[in-house]
Amino acid sequence: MRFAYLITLRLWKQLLRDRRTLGLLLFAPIIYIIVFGIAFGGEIEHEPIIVINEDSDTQIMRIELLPGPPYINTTFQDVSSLGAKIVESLNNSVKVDVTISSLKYSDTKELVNEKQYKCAIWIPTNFTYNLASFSGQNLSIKLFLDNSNPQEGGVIIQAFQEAFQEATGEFRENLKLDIDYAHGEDSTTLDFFAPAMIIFGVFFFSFILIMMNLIGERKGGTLPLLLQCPYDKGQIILGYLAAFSVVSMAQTTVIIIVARAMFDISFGTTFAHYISLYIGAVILGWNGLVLAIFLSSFARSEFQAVQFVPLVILPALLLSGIIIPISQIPLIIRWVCYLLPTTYGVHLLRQISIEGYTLELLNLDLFAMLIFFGLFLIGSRFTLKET
Amino acid sequence: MTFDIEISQVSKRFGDVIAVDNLDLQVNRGEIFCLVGPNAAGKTTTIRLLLGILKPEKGSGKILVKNFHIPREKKRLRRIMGYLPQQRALYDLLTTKENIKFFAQAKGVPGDIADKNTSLMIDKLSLNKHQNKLALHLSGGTQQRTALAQAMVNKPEIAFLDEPTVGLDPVLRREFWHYFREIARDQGTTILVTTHYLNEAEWADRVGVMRNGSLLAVDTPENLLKQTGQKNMENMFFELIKGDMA
Repeated sequence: MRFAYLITLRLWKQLLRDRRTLGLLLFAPIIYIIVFGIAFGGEIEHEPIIVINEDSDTQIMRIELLPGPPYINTTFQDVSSLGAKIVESLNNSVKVDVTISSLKYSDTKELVNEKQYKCAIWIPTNFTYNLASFSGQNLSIKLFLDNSNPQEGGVIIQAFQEAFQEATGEFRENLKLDIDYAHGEDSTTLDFFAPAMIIFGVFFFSFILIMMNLIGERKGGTLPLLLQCPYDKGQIILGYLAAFSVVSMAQTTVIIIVARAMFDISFGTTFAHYISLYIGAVILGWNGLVLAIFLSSFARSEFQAVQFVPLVILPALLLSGIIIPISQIPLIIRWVCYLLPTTYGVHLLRQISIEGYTLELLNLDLFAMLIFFGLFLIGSRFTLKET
Repeated sequence: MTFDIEISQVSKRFGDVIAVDNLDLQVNRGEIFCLVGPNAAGKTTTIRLLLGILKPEKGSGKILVKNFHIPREKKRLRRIMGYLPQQRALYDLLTTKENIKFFAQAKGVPGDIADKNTSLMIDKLSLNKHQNKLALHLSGGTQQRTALAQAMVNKPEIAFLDEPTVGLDPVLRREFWHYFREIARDQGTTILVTTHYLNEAEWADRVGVMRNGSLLAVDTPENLLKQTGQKNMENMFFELIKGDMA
């Protein structure tokens, strides 16, 4: 046991002398627990929906058969609008934020298509009357749902069903929900996570690979030699970018092929979708790459470099909308989401693969990723040094 | 008189340790100047200060009348300069030939000339039978020969060789020095070489004996031996530091 004791003692000494590692070892778990706790502590709430309520209070006639003359007794019963009750219940729900509209249903659908609302609900004229008098007409409520995120879509449906149940009581059996989908009609959870596979493959793999590669170059002495060459060190970064862009594209291809062949996941229907997907993936890969170059200058060994990996990957995994929708992340930490390039990458790739979006030149997600890339590039240009 | 390398009053410290202390040094064109001294004498720090890798706390240094801390001049100098660091810096998964050619091109040598220079270096440093082997599979001596070829493949006007013979057998060490003399003679290359093998210094044109960041003496090997009354450089060094050791 003496040998084991010697090894333990030696490791403790090394650890205590490596202040950077020691700091990271103690600091990193604090970050993990905070990020985990806050990220998973939230619920999906305040989904914006738009409601057209054309229903109104009504009066229904009740006919009662009598044993003697006049044989029929007719009474009128006032029934207050079920539509109004549904809207009231929805208003009381934290799951959705309701906007009442007097627009046409087709116009509200357009607003959902434009992503201003997650769902448009149309409660038609005489809904209460028809439902209460069992006439069988207009017994359906129309919903137009953006289901590009099935988790959010599910919460909206659930909020509506709860509101309907609360409002209508005995009449609820007659209801038919007539749902049309703006996006993601056939979306499954796997479809939702598929773009995240590309994020994992491209961003994280680029990050880890470059980090280790550069530490190796620095320790092996080739990086100081490269920095003694008569060119700007920006060219070293560009060389890495060009080489690993091809790697990012190859990874994207492999992920698409395997996901399609094994799990029937489609990332798009046209050539333009795939081109958009590749552009998004490569630019996201660039972000991982320059971030790794930037951070590698703060690590003197592979051991220190490895500690940066969870510090980058964990927030990106939990706060980019990969697993938990951004809308579910508590406001206190939501600003962090917008400081992560992966947030924009996830959004862009999901738009392409689930909503069938084709990349345009002026795309905000792309623009945000390029801004991050520029900032990391400038940072890495300054931190890349011989010593 | 102008010198290819000129340092005046340069100092550098790392924490409490003075690595280079008020150093004055001049190296003439086309000469092999050897900085000799024990480990931690400040030899590598001097080279790193000259190359601009480290910044001096005071004093200034010039290479070929150019200030190395001015970026534009630094870039120009790097094209006509060779640098062999202490560590054998090779790409393991490139062959000997690929490693040498890569650094020729990285130093701005055009493609066809890079090919020619690479072949020349392979011949000169007897790397022919190893040229297509991965660096990973080379012996220590062959790796060092490849590293030297990398440093000299751009036919530099001035070369900084930091402990080029460390870890080599006596035969290979002699071969290296033979090669230094050959390129100094044929190409007029100025060479600043460091070593802690004291006896090697006698193969240089001039020697600077370094200890604790300062130069104890600078002269030709013959004059140093004569001044100290010793027959070899090792004894000469101990004679110079006799006072300090007592």
